[in-house]
Formats: sequence, C-alpha cells, structure tokens
Amino acid sequence: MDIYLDNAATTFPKPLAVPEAIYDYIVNNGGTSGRGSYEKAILADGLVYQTRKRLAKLFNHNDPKTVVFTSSVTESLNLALQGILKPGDHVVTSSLEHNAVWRCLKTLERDLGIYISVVPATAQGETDIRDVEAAITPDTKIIVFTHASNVLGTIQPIAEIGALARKNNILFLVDAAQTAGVIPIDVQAQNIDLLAFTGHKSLLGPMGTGGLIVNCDAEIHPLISGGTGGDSAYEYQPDYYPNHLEAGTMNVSGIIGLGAALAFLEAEGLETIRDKEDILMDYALNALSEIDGIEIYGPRDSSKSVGVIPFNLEGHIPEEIAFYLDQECHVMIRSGLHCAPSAHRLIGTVTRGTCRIGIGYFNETTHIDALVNGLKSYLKENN
Amino acid sequence: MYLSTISLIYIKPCTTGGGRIKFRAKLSSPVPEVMPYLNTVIKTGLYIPSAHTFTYKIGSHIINIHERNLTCTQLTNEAQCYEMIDHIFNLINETWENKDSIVPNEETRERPSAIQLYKLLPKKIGCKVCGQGSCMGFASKLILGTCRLNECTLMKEAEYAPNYLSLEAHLQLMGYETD
Repeated sequence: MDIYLDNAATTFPKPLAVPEAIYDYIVNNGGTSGRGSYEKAILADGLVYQTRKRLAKLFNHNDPKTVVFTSSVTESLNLALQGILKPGDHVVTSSLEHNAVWRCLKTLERDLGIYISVVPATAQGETDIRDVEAAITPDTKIIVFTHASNVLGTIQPIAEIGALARKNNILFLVDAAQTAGVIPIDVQAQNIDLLAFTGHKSLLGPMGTGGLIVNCDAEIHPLISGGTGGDSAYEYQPDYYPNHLEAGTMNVSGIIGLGAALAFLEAEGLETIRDKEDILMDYALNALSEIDGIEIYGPRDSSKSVGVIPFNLEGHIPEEIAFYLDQECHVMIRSGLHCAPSAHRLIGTVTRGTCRIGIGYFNETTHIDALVNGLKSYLKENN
Repeated sequence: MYLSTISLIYIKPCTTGGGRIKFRAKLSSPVPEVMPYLNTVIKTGLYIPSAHTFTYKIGSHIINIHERNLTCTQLTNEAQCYEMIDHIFNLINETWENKDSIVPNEETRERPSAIQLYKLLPKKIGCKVCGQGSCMGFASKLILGTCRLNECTLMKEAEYAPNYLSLEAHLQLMGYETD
C-alpha cells in the first residue's frame, strides 16, 4: 500500500465527492460560467457562485462577490502585490515566506523600486509582534505574512498583526496556503484585508484552483485583461467584482470540485479535522523522536504548528532518505528546500535542505508507523 | 421552507443599457399565497392580486415576482444576480415562516395613472407608430398591460431617454415587461 505523507505540498486523496462533482459537471453540463444564455451555462454560473459563497462563509467574509478565483495561491499573491504596490512603497514580511511571496517581492524590488523589511523569527519559526511593529515605516503599504510556514509549520500571530496593521492603516495580506481548511480564519475578526488561498491543499479541492478574498477597498490593478462575459463593448476591465480581477474562461470544473470539497469540510467540521491532524502530529513527533540521530526542526508542538514536520538524519542526505522510503517502503515524503529558502536559513539547512512530512486528514497512525519503520531500516542499511 | 429553490434561467442586457443586465428565475413553488404577506412586509411594494404579481424596488433594482417566476433589473454581473436571488429566497421563506405574526394585506397601493404616463410620452400629433390613435390612448393601454413600451419607437430616441427610464420604472413596478 502506498502511503502519502506529502500533504503540505498537496492533499491526497481527495474526498470522493470532489472527482464525482467534476465528472458530473463535465459529462452532464459542460457550460461555461458567465458566457451562455442557456440554462446549463447559467447553472454552471450558479455552481461557481455557490463556491464563492462557501468560501466567504468559511473565512467569515461578508461579500461573495469579492471572492476572486485564481489558478493558485501564487497567482493570488502576485495579483495582490503586483496589483497594489507602487514605486517607493515599503513592505513588511516574515522570515518564513514561500517563494510565492518572496520572489514576487524581490522582483518588485528590482523592477519597480519597492522596499522590503523582513521581520526576524526564532529558529522555531516564531515571530514577535514587537518586531513587526518595529519594521513599520511611514511608507509601509502592505504587511504580507504567511499564516503558517510550509517548512517549519509554525503558525504566525495573524490576529495580532492584523490589529497592528489596522491601527496603522496598512493593508494586511495573508498567505493561507498551509492553513485554509485546517485552521480557522476570520477575515473580519483578524483584520485581514487580503486573504490568498489555494484550493488543493487543506481545502481538499483540485489543483488549478485558488483565490483572493478582497476584504478592503484598495485599488487592485488586474494582472490580466480579457473577456468577462458581460459589458463586452467596454474596452477595459470592468471595475466591479469579481470580474475586475477575473478574465478569461474560468476553471469551472475545478471550482465545482472545490465547491464539493468545501461541502465535505463543512460536514466534517474544521475542529474535527484539526483535532485529528493534531493527534497524528503528536503521535508522529513522539515516534520520530525515538529514532537515533534524528534532528526535528520547528516548534515540535501541535498547538503551535500545522501538520508539517521537517527533520534530518545526522550524516544523511534528505533526498536519499526520501528516495529510499519511496522505493523500498512505498512511503512518500518531501525533501529539499520546499520553495522557501528563507525558512531554511533560520534552521541552518539552506544548503542541505530537510526531509518533510506533511500530515493530512486522511492519514492514520499506521502511516506514521510505516514511516518510522522505514527510517529505521534505512539507518540499518546505511550506517 | 416554502421555496426549495429559485433557479436562474435567463440573463439579458437591460433595455436601458449602461452595461446592466436583468434576469429571470423560476420558483420551485407558486407564490401567490405569500404575496399578501410580502405586501405587509415590504411597505413600498405594489401588489396586484388579480394579476398575481408583487413588485418592489431595492435601490435601482426592480424585482417583479409572478406566480411561478420573477425578474430583476439593473444588475452588474452574474454574481450580483445570485446575490439577489439569495436575498429574494430568504425574503419569501422568512415571510412565510413568520406569517402567523404578519397581518396579510390585500390592498393595491396607488398605481400611476394614465395621465402620469401620458406626460412622459412624446405626444407627437398624428404619429400613430404604436398603432394607437394618440399618446393618451397608448398610455391607457400601457396601464392595462395590453401595449408594451417598445411599441413606441420614438421613445428609443436619445432625447426621450430620461422619460424612457421613468416610464420603464413605472411599468416594471406594475409588473409589466417593457421590451
């Protein structure tokens, strides 16, 4: 049996309702959202809107029209940062950002002339709110923070940063790639102006889905221009949402699949999902800590982290461990830098990388046992 | 729950343009028995018992509820259509749910008169393009719903645009199609 422990990259498996909804739409409907004058296309439109509504409800956002669909959280982050920042603007960000934020900021720094301040973090990935406050300047336009590091798992103090941003009239952009669907997010209570999310991780939807919740009046310049289905004689992108930031035929099948995944999440309950992942996380931390020569990074505390455990075995290369586990034990884990070199700098692994397991809702303790047994046999064969 | 669904079936541009759209939607059950209660809840609505129509305005949107379907005007995009459907769905279901505490109202609030409509028409003597003898005759037929506003082609001309909007709003509030 194959054991999948790379849920921080993408969740697998998906609830069966997800492929079923996609199949049903492609086989029995097939109409494109916003483009047809017939009942099936309008039905497709309705299903897209239902997904917007479910997302608004999940994040306690009050207007489904400003739930903008994108192809990924990376696109959402680029849309927000490229669409808002102007030359001379200052941005505050964390030490834990994924390249989806970091490369985007560095490119804007080089090409547009923005300024970046990086807030320090501990080796466990913890951020002190006072350091965020100290980084703010009169030119700070946006604070962009990951909600939880994809390398260390550490959950960031989003509500405190949101309150700080609101007090200083600064836009607050949150990268919820690792948290949406497993950690409660409330854009109103947490003062999140812009929430970037992906559909294919803990929201349990298909790849190619993502979005940006626009909980503010900031002018966002569209990344792309094109057809929106309506107002076609007008020569520019309309200024009303969601069409302002959505151009071209949408990923209707993916969005419908995401809608089915959200229905599954609603039925299960975020708390149930989080509880199970926490139990598995504690179980894994205990079991892994018994392995000789293992170094586990991050908070090592399920209450401070999402279901991510980075580790190394002393004297061994992460890629070789992952390769062995896959080929000999049918256990799939991630190795390398996980597209987030800055987080690796915190733990001193930027040249070497780490192994990483990503725990998901469909994992069981037997999967952790298989991982631990695999690591033990790897050590037996390679020491 | 009185209604299980309101299904959007048709979207088209509003006749008055401006990039706005209108929609038609099907109701899962006929709603005439809810209308006297809606007439109490929405104090500015126009209820016409004989025609089984209830019409009201939210901002610039005219919502016209018929026995088994409804229309709504002046929307910007599909997302707003669905938002409006949710609003109407909740209004009808909540009204029905609370009907024991609502006194139903069978009255028809004041409707515009033929004279009011006549004043907004071109009044071009001898025109007869609508097939009626005069604008007054046409206004009387508009009130009865036996003529449609689009039968007066003069009204489409730019100089009558403000009057067209007013006439359209009056007629839509009475539950009539204008095009």
